[in-house]
Amino acid sequence: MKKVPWGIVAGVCAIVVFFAVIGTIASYLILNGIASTTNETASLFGKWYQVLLFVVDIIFGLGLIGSGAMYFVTAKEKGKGETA
Amino acid sequence: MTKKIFKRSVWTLLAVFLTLFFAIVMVADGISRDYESWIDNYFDVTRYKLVENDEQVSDDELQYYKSDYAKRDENGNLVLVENASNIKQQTYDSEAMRKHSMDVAERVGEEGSVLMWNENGALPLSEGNKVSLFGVSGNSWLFHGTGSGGVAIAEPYLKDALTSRKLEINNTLMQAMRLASIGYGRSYVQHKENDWRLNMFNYIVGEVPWDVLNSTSLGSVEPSVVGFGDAAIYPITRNGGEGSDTNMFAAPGTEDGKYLSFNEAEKSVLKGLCRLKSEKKLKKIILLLNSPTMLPIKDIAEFIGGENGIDACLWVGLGGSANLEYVADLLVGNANPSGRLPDTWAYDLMSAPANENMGNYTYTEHPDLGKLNGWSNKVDKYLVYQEGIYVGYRYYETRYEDAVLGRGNASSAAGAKMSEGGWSYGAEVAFPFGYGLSYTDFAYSDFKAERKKDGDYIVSVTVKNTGDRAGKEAVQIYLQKPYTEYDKANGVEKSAVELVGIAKTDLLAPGASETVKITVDDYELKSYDSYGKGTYILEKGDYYLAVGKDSHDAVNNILAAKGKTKADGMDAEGKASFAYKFTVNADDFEKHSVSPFTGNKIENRFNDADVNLYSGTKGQEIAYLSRKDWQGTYPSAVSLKVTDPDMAKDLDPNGTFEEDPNAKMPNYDTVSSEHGKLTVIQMKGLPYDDPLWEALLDQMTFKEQFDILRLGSYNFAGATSIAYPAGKAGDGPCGVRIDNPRDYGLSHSMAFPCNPIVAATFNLELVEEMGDAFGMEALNFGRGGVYGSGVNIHRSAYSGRNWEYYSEDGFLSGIMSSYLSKGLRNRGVIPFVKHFALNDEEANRQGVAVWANEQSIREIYLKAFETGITDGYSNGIMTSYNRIGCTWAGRHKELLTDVLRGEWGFMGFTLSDSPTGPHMFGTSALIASGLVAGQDMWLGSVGPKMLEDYENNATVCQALREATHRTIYTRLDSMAMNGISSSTKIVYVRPAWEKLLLAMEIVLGIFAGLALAGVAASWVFYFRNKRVNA
Repeated sequence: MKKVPWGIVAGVCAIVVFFAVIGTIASYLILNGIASTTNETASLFGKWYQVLLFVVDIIFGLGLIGSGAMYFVTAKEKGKGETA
Repeated sequence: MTKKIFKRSVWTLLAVFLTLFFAIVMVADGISRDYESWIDNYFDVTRYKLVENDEQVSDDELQYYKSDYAKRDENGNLVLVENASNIKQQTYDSEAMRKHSMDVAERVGEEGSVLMWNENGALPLSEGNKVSLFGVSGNSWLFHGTGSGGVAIAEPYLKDALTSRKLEINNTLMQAMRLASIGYGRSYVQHKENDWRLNMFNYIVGEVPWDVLNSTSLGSVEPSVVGFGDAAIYPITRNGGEGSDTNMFAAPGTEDGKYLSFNEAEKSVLKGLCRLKSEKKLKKIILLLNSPTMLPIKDIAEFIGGENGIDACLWVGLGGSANLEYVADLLVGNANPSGRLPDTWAYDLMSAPANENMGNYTYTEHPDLGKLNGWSNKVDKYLVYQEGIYVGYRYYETRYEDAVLGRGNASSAAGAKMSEGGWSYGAEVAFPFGYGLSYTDFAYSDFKAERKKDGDYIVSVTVKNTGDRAGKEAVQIYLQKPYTEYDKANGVEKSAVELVGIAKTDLLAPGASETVKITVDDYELKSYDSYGKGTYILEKGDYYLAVGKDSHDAVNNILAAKGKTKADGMDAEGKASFAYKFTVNADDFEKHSVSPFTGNKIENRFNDADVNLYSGTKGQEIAYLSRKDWQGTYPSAVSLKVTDPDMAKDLDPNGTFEEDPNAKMPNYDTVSSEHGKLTVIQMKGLPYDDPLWEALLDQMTFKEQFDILRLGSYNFAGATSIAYPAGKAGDGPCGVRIDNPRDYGLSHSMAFPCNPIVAATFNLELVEEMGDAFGMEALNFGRGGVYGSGVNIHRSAYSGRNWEYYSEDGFLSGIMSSYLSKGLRNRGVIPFVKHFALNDEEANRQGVAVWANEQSIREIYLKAFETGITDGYSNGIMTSYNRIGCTWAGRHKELLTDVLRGEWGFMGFTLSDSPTGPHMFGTSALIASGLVAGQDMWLGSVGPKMLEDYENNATVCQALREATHRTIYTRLDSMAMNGISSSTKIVYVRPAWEKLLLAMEIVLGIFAGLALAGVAASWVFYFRNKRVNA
């Protein structure tokens, strides 16, 4: 079985999480700005794409944690192997 | 080491990340240019800063508009500070100003509240009375409606206001109300539910039903009510706001599913109270209507009056910051209500014919109306004002007169909702327009009218206070014009009465009297003839001027003057002596066909909005409601379709406009004055057409002029070439809506009473005083313009935004707006009277096509705008979202240029409503055509390159120059010039958020470039190593 490049997976997940977080914040600020013109407030989950961004954040956040952990585990094992 | 540094995966990820980040920032920067003024407003930054001023002129002299609450030092000089633009501005004793605002607001509330009924002198209550405060509104009063006009204020409790007036409150009941609310969650709290899928919201009444109130852990509240049984006070609340009408959602617990209707929970409370009264456990029931609009009285008719019914009812509206103070003062008699209804209150609100065509209508057939269709551009939606001029009392009173006179099938069943055996006024109308009681009584005498040399009429009447309390009386003068054979033949409609004059007496002590004189302009005698002469006409026949306690009383007085009595079917005897008859002997179709304000000819301008005249709706003609035949013309939902290709084209605008063959490219960036370089303040006091204006405009660049047009989102752009300062505007219409009042030394913003209450005062001097106080609030917050007042018409009770508009009557709306504008202008604040025009409901407001005949457009809907403009006080207009016929109101040349300027002589400038629909600003051509039509400024969202295609188009450039001229001319006579001298120099400063974006672009660009180089290097090393290893 081919080795999974956990570092790359973690990097991709980190990029997605970063932009999804920015998207979440930006969409909230923009929607809140629009809503404030009619004296309303926006929520973080008012629109479908806000929910999507949040879900993406969670999924890729978990992916980042998991792949990051695997990266260090495999790196450690690799290190042990090299010592042996 | 080399291997680590040039690891390919790391560099690739880094490059992807940085390149994406760079691209996103680039895109964000590009988009942000389209929304500059929104973002500037959000961060509260300015782009224009003063760098030099005249040191020789005293600072005081440069404050052209002052607040009464501007601080002064020990020498009497103004204490000034520099604002964000480095311009010296006054500092204010904000708390003293606020105290004054509250005082004015309280008086407006007192004079605008309407005593609907008051059996056996139930009100006012006496000091020391023990009262029980019922209803969720007792704990959560509604002060303002929702939307852009809603001002957030401190939320005091009615209980505290009553206690401070020495009433004893039933605390057990208050506790039970709280327990019920907590125990059952949000069901028993008034609130608003947003539905983002439908882009609308619901209001929830949230009343606690009687059985729930009596089954909390405290047990039955009835014993406590017995102990506090001098009176039960029961407030009923209804909300309203922009974006949704109040009939757009189903309201549970009501018979007709409508939010304005009284629901089962409310009725259960009323039933419970009436039972307690019948059991002698309760002495009085007082109803408070905390609602901006009329409510269907049929729902509570069974509880009104009688031995065990509701004793008294006060309509107190949404009163803003001073709401509870004036309610409490009215309840205990510290103030005497003198408000008169600005709308007709029908038993069944649906009995108004306008409601037959109110809500959501989609063309039954239409082609693909194009890419512009969508939630923000309701191109496939329409609305037909089939009722014509018969809005509000014009319908009910005219039909009543015709019923008495036996004309026009007025007594037929068509439109009857409550009547049995044919339409009957008494069965349909609960409280007429202009109705209201007082804690005292007034008698009228010596009604006279005489014609002045200039053709106007002076009407006078003596009002005497015949009761035992001091009070004020609202005097109302109504006009009846003859309904002639010519009218019947040409589709001209005449209302039985039209309000043409109002005045309020001073506070009259018991026994005191006052003779009130009101001038009625002969301009009011004209009628618009859409289908015959195509202009205003004055017809021969008998005219009547009548005084009345309300519109119905006036009709009865006119009928009495015609010799009619109850025997003829009148519901009350009129007084012939209160009506003055005069006769016009010959038709005059010329006199009013020319504008008295500009001398321009008046002719049909809205054929494109009348389905009977517009070529695209040929074959779909409708019958407008006519008193010729009430039965045959009573409205029903109009079905329209788009089958004509021209109509489809008109609805999906491509921004074409008529080129002016004589237009020449204007000068830019050129000093052409013999006086050398001019600054804007040098133009102060010069007339609009002074030749020096041309030289000033020559100095400006195209970009400066376009920035003034496009950066209008709560901001006004400046211009460095002429030392023209930037400025700010704020939402109205009933107070400056501001998010950060603490920055100005105040804990909250000031909310004045809602416009229906303002209208109900019938007191022009008081409304001007409110405008003046409002103006000082705006000065305090540095706002040179306010988005208000709202003068759209209460065409339907269900319009969500009625709380921001005055009345169902154009005259009353117009004169109120005029005096409010006058007050605001006293302080140098520009009132943007809105929404111009025909934006009388919220459903599909972004793009809905409104169809109406020209008589109703002019006599009802435009009348409300016309008065303030022709009086000379309203120098700002906000155009509306909707279409007039197929054309967006902000691109309707006939409306913005021919009528507004050509007929009314408007010298101010127009601002669009917030551009959210592509029909308003979607393409360069749409901006250009709007500009040529007469739209002077967009409320943001227009990008800096949107007019690039027209930079060499003389027609557009001249229109832009004229728009700039109008804007500068208007702002020159405003507080915007405070602190500006002839030596002022202003520079452009890029705001911090733009600098940050630019810095991010540079840094990210460099790093992305480096990362990409790293990727390349890592691959080079990879192949080199591979080759070496091989």
